[in-house]
Amino acid sequence: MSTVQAGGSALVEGRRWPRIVRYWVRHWPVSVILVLIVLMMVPMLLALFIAAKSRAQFDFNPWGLTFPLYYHQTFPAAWRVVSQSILNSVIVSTVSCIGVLFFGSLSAYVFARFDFLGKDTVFVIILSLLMIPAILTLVPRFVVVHKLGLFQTMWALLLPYIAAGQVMAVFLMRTFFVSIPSEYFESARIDGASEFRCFWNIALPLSKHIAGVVAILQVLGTWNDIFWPYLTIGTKKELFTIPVALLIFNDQLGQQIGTQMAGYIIASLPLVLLFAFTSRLFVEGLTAGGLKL
Amino acid sequence: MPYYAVLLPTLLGLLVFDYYPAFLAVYHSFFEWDIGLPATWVGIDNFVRMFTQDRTFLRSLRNVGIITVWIMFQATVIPLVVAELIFAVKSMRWKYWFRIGMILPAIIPGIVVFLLWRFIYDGSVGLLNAFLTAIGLESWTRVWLGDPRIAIWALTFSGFPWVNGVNTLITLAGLQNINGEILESSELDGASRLQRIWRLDIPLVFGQIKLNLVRAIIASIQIFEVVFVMTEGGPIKSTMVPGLWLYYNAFNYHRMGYASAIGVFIFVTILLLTLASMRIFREERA
Repeated sequence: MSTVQAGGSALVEGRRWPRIVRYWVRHWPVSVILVLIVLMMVPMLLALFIAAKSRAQFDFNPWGLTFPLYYHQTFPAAWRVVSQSILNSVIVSTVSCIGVLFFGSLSAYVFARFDFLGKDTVFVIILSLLMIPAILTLVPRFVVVHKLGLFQTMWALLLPYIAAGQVMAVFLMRTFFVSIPSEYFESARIDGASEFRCFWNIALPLSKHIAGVVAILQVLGTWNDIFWPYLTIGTKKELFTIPVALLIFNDQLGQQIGTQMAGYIIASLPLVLLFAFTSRLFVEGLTAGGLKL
Repeated sequence: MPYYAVLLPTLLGLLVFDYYPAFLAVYHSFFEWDIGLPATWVGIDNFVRMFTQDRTFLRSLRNVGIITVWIMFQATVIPLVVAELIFAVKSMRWKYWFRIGMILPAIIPGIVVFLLWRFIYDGSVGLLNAFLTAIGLESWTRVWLGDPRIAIWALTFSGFPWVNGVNTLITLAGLQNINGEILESSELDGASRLQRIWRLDIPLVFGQIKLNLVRAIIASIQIFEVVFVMTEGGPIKSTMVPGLWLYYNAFNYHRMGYASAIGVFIFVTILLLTLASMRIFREERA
């Protein structure tokens, strides 16, 4: 960005190229990344364009932006089809997130602060689940859920999501709790605080960031899960989560392409909104540098 | 024990929904068990059958091999290149927005991305064919996901420009943690940018690259959602992958024992490949 460099390369390249071109060539990493990001967004932009089209406009020009825009028709039509499943997804993601944070942090706290018989063994046994691929347990888990009478209920989603999400939660939060100086807890105990208050009023408030990361991972994972809800909710329409609804909806609405695309956009919006508020946390969590093998 | 009381909900949930199913999967892989019928112990017959009689399974191995090789590349090399590009940007403001821009596509639900790509590949109204026609390559147009010889490649290379934002940020984090003095002194010594990347950056961010690699192995060996949404394994099973074949065996053909055996195979493959890659790359680094 320095002006000295600007003068230098202007001499080298002569005055044939307009200033704007010279700027982008000189800052070529910026240009390349911008192009990449635009390309990465192409599918979403397409969806946005096509969602504006009537059937006739789509037949005439499927890919460009056409006027007039029919958003006022496609979005309400899509919303009528997906609104229930959006609500279901919000419930599933929120409740399972709260469950994971609550039980996961409690367990992590116990692992971090106390010594008891078999502690290390139990901890390793829990962590070993990180190595077991979801596909291995897919079928038998379905059998278990069926036998417990949870088939086609929301519990079939919530309970396994809460159980599985805790593995990562316990791992990440234990590491964090260990790093809190024990003096904090000791002085609170001397002042007569119960162990639960130590957890609730000291450990949890300090672990806001790591809890945020756990929460985002859980929401992303549950919101995007396609197969488990597809299996366990089956044909029960009023319990569809958003991926299942889109999958079914896609096959039913094949002809109304604008509405279909509007549905895709509506399905993405809650996560985009969540991201708008947590992007800082998320990006910082990823770029803090702690993630490596 | 009060400690165990606190751990109980966690342990109980994992026991019911994770350990017990994992145990069942391994256990059933030694049985022939069709839903509704009694299970019979068959030893390792299921595994033998996979490799000797099941042509679809063998086909699925080839497909998952193609996909895994590509995803391993896509998860390590491309993020490194993009992270180096972002690292080379001097302006902090651009850097900040680039990091956001990398993540934004990653939060679009997978199902939406898969369905959009199915649409891009569409034979009659797809963007890809429209684009090829527009640049005068009309002879290249085809029904991308409908041609058994092409479909697996179309599937594998969907997601252009193949930039994995999360992996890029993980790699970028490694680059930013490199001590600035090391980089400066290499510049003073007259090292070119490429030399610096090869000699300094790559060894120093190897932990991050390895993390991306292992995550790629774990995800790609058990891949099946993208295949299910885009082709359902077709046409004529040409895009079948083991994960989806497991699903079909379990829920369409009701061969639970055989499906479990495929699951065990996937599990063991992931385990071995992960261990192997950790070992190989540890030695290379030294």
